[in-house]
Amino acid sequence: MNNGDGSIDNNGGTTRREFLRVLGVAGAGAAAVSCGPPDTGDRLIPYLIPPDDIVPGTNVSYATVLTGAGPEPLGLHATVRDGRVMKLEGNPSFPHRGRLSALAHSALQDLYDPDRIRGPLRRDGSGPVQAAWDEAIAAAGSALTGGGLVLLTGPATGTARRFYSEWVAALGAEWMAYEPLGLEAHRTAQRIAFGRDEIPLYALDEADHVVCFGADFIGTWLAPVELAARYSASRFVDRGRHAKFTFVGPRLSISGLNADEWVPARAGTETLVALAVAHEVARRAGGGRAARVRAVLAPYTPEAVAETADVPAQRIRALAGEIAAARAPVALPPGTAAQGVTATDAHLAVALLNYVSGASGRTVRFDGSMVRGRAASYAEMAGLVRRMTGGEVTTLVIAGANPAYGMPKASGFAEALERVPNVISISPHLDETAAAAGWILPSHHELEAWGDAEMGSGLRALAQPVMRPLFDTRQREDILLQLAEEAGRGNALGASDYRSYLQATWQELQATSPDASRPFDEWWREALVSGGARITAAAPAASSPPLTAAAASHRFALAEAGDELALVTYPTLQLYDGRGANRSWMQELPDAVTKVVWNSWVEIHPETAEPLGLSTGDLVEVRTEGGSVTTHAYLYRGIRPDTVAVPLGQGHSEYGRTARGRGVNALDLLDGASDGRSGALAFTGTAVSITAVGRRGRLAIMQGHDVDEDREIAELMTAEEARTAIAGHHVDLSELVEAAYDSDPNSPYRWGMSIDLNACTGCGACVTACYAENNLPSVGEDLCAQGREMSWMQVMRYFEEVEDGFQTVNVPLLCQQCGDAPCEPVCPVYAAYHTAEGLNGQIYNRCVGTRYCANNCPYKVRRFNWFTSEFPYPLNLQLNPDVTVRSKGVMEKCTFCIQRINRAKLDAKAESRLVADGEIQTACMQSCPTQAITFGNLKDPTSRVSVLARGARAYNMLGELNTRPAISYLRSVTHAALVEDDHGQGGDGHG
Amino acid sequence: MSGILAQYDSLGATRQAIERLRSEGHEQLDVFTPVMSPELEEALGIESSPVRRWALIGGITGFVTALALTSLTALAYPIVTQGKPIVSLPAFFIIMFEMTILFSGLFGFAGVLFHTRKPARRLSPHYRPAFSNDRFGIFVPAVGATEADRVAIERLLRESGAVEVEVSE
Amino acid sequence: MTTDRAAMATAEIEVPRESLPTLADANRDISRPISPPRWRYWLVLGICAALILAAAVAWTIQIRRGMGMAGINNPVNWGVYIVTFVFWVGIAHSGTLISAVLYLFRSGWRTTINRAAEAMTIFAVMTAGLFPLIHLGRVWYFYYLVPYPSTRLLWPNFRSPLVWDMFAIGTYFTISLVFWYLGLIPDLASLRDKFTGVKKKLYGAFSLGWQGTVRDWSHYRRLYLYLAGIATPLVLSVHSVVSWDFAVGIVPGWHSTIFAPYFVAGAIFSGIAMVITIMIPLRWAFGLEKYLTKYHFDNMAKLLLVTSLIVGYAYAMEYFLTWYSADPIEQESFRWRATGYYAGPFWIMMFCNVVVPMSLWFKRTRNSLAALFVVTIFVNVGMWYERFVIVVTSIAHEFEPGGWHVYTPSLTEITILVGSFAWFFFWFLLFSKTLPVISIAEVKEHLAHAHEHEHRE
Repeated sequence: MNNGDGSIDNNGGTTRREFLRVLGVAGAGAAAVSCGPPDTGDRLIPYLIPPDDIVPGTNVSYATVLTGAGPEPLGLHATVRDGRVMKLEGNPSFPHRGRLSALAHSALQDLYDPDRIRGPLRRDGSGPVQAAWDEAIAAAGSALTGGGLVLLTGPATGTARRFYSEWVAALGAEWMAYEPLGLEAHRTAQRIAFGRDEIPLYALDEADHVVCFGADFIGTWLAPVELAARYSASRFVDRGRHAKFTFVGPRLSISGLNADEWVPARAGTETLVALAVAHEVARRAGGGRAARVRAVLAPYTPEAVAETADVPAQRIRALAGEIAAARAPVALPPGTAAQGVTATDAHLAVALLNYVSGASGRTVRFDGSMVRGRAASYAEMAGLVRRMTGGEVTTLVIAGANPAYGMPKASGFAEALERVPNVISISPHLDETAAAAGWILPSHHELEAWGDAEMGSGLRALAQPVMRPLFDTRQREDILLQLAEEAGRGNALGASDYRSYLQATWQELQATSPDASRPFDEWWREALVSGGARITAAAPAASSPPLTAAAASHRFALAEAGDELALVTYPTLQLYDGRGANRSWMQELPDAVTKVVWNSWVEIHPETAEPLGLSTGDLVEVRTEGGSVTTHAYLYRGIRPDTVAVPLGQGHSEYGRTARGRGVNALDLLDGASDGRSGALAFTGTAVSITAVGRRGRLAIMQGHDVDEDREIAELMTAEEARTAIAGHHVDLSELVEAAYDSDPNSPYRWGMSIDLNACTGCGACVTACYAENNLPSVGEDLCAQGREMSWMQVMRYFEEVEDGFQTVNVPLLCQQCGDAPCEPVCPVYAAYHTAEGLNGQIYNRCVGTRYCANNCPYKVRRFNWFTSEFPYPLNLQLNPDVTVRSKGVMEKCTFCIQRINRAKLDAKAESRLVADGEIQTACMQSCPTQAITFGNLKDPTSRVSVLARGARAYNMLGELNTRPAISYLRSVTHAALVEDDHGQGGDGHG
Repeated sequence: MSGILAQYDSLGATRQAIERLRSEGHEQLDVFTPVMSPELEEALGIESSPVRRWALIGGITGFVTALALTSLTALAYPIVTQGKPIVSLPAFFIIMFEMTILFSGLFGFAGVLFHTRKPARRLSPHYRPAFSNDRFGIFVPAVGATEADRVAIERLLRESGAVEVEVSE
Repeated sequence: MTTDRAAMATAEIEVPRESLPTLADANRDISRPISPPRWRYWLVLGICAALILAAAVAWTIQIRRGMGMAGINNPVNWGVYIVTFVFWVGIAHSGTLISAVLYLFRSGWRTTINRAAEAMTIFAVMTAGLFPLIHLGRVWYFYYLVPYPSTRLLWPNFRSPLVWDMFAIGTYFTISLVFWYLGLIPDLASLRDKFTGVKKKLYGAFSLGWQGTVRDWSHYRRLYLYLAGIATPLVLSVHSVVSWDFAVGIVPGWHSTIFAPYFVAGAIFSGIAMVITIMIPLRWAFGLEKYLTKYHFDNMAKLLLVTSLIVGYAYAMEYFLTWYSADPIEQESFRWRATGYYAGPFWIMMFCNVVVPMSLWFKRTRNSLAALFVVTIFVNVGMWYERFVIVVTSIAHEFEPGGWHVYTPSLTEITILVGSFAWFFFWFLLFSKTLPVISIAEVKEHLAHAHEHEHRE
């Protein structure tokens, strides 16, 4: 037990006993401590005296919060079994409603990353060498005294923010928060427009018309989980709502693919379009607000911008008309995806549009519900680089940030880092930055550490260790404290370790909180159990700040549109800023837009590719002023012919076995230009040229064909059709759906699922949740390219032709648990059979691997183990003990998380009752941000799933085969006009 | 048992010899032939072999066995697949068909072995290697026959074209 | 009866009456090859053995690492292994067809080829039988398919076509073996009488003490006729059952009622082709010109032509039914089959199985052994590709477009495919030097009647 014990006992004062006590308070906390992870996972040692609060084989759930999984903090319930966390599920008491993103699920693989640093390291000439903590702290601490000290962290809120500022104050240092995908442009624009230095809430759920000028709010921008949920709420057709969604921009991101209409404006002209639309709205709207902005908008008539933006004037008028007519319109800013050299002005233009359309104060509110840590802009970072090169920085402490990867080559950060005498890295991973540091002090993973985060609207989430540290690591803040102590400024922060510092801070917070009167211990305990507390009274009513004079007379800087190709570099929801790259789940999660895994690509419009003779998979050299990369072409109709796009996040030189040397780093293409006003890095707008290399690369694309050939797979209907269908549809609660009869007559259950294609955004959170719950192996790029992926669940992205353009229907595809299953009778050994509750059982240890079942499955959802999969330590600690780990030669597939079904049935049996509706949540359902998935008992005519299955939009996939699936899909609904044959398809109702 | 063994080099001669011997009242003939020949069977008045009855019984046994195997095992551990009945006769019929043929074939073969007393360790003393090559052979048992009878038989055999006549013990 | 048999016999053995071989000649000539082989034989045998070894190694690696060593994937879960399995089962059909069906039709010309054809059947089944095992993900549990009273109280699923397969092929193998062995018994007896020492003992033992009394012959004849009777429906059933492996599936391109007759015709087609392919070199190597004559090859060539026409008709029918079904999914599958990624194999199949055999309309082709040999090689190749087209192209492109994916065979699969041919020829070589490749007894039977005929005149 060298790893866990040591780290706790000399954990800067957090003694084992204290640690125990606090966790004990948190409820069954001892579980996390007294039974740590086994050293190798190959020994089973029974307790001599078992702890009272551990029942072997049962899960304990701890509330904590994850700040490192994407742009928004996510409250968690971490499922812990015998001292190791196996699964993360959202904490419903926070704005993201207990839903999680794929990236959040993969935090487990971040925790159990086999490449994590297992103890302090010192870098000498040859490379990192093992060191002892005391030695490391001593050496590193002494370097802090010399002055010229800079602390570089990620953006922080809550106690961490206070801690860092106090720390740097104590040491006379400077603190910079680094965030490659920061919101600085947006923030600046809000300051200019309304004098409010904060991020507004975009209440999409209240909107009846959504226009997005580029922000990937479903994938990566601001608060994907929360915003996706709000967005889908605005399109609950069954409740008579269906906000139209128009996307403006050169490239369709996952958000864009969800739009009803695409206005393909030239890259960098979002500003113009927004202004022109605002102009039109102002012209129609009248009223005070219109009057206030008419002057500044005057020059931007649709005609004036039509040419530059390459958008017909009438199109702009139409859009403006819709917004003006809308009851509650909302316009979303360009966000990171369309962040160019005039980013602030683009955001400002959208702010003006929201102002004039009346959205400001209604659907766009400064109600303090969007709290994001402030980060240094790229310009400021560039400044730091200059100072580093200039030798002004003698000691650089980098804690939980990876600028060496996230800063473009052009910035010269890496070189500058070499110039800094003392570089101290505090990070769980040996990433590019840590690798360049002189001292590498490994910190706990978030799930092993204390902390808190501001969740907005006065809520604060509390982070506690959910399990004992895996390796000889320490809490990040504790390391900083110990360094300060070493530098002789230890007492300055008035705490010996971060936990007590945190507790002290919370004591102060309580004083001003609504619960000021209650005893602290009780309040704190409650916070630990529930995951957080309200520390200020409920948010103020939505205020609508007046437009500043500055904004009313703003002179907009406009990107001049050259005639060469424009480059768009964008973060993907799986790798985000690159932090997902060493997690095999994220590498193997098919990209929502391209369905590519494990690699980089450049999106090119077929028209652009045609003269170059390029087809998908060919190698292309992408060249800019800043540099060049060679990667695979991906022909994509969702991008303008004069634009190419390269995703961020790949091309790591360090960070671990999974990330290293994979794909290309799109940042190498950027010349380091930044937005004049906010200093935000310009991710788009760079002039770029592409040349065919003349070789084919291998690109693993997880979808064989992009259209469903009208096979009743991805069904689409228009809003009008939906409205009439729903109006004329009556669900008789006395009778059952047909599929309900496909289980044993004596069984009270027939498990079924309903998937609302209108709600599904294609984010893939369900897929990763399934990987986590069901011990699915990631097989790597080679096998993926051979079509040997193991995902039980895929999100198929189908394009449906509509009048002018195409619509996207995302179809989560998993085992349909057919009542009349073709896979069952062909199995010679009964490995595939029908359970009494109507599932298609799959008996792994019976299977001999004829693979006939897979051939005979029309949905192609069965997966065969071509090899035995590896789970290198400590990844094996994440495996769910309730689910068999399959070996080579065995067929496997989804069985509706049967382990969860059985647990619920046992609980019900113990209370001698039937399983209640909604009691069972499959992993995919639990995770879905838009609640597209509903699971339940089809034999209960009143269960949600059974009602949905008989709804107006319900249909069975490939219904003509009469496989009687237990899954009913609900048609996707669009405002676009369908082309005839699709129309016929969409029209005929199945449910 | 002693008697007279004659060898012939043609089917026709053998056949005539048999007919004449039988007309002379010699019924207990052992006839060896290198080739299958219905004519000789005819000449010897051999009625058709009972082997086919073996085959028939085998066939019935096979069918019943298969019916039992498929249905009873399915009932012993009833598992539903694709909503098909536990005893899915149409599917099971294929097994029954195959086992019918299998059993009747094997039974038939057993029948032949049984009726021809095979496998036999020793060959008959009257057998000559030439009988598997190009010679036909007729053995006329002459137990307790007088010298005159023997001579008569020998003459008859020679006249009917025997290429070789010997007394075989 | 006698006369027309005689006529037939003389007709077959196109040599002047006066020099009609005697029974002794036949005995001597046909059993001559059963003698210590020369170095050429050992060389060929050695090559076969080496290739078998290579395949065995490939299989071992596949078992140790996993099925991933093969090129198959999702959705193409069946590849070269199943293709080759069906191919060999097809080959296996000529033997019993020639021995049984032609025997019932009293087409005497079968006499000189049935022995080799039956041997081929047995070795082909022995080859085919390996592939279901090779393709199994967990071959070490293959016995789960065998109906035996296990401690799990669980029996095989008799609804599964794979279990039907096991029974059909098992039966076919057993019955063919019995049929073949029954035919061998008199020949074994004459070999017993020919040789001395150990050989005598061995052949003696296997001849079960046969001494050819008329009474024994009568039982023998009855069973032979009877086996011919039951083997005929068996031949038809076996490849029908194999075809149901596919026809029972819902996969477009598999799920078709014409599969059974279609497969049986294909099987006979490929079987005859393989017989000719083997007989031509055999005749040359063993100097059996006197017994294997143009007349036989002409007849087989005609049979080949007929079956080729049937197969061609089946191809056409498949497309007609697809068009007539008006099922867009089915139609897309077949469009893709002929024009998509696997258009190559498809057109190879068409050329080899439908176009090339048309040359057999000309007597000159039928009578030139060289030409015939080339044609049959084409047919063998074509029939392998037919199975490839049926198995692979259908599952590569079925209902769920997102799941479409293509497949290319891996080195492991190719090695094992080649090894299967080596395995087949290995056994055939052993057979050709240890047993009469032509049925001595039956040839003698014809000759006997022929001589009879002479005497009459």
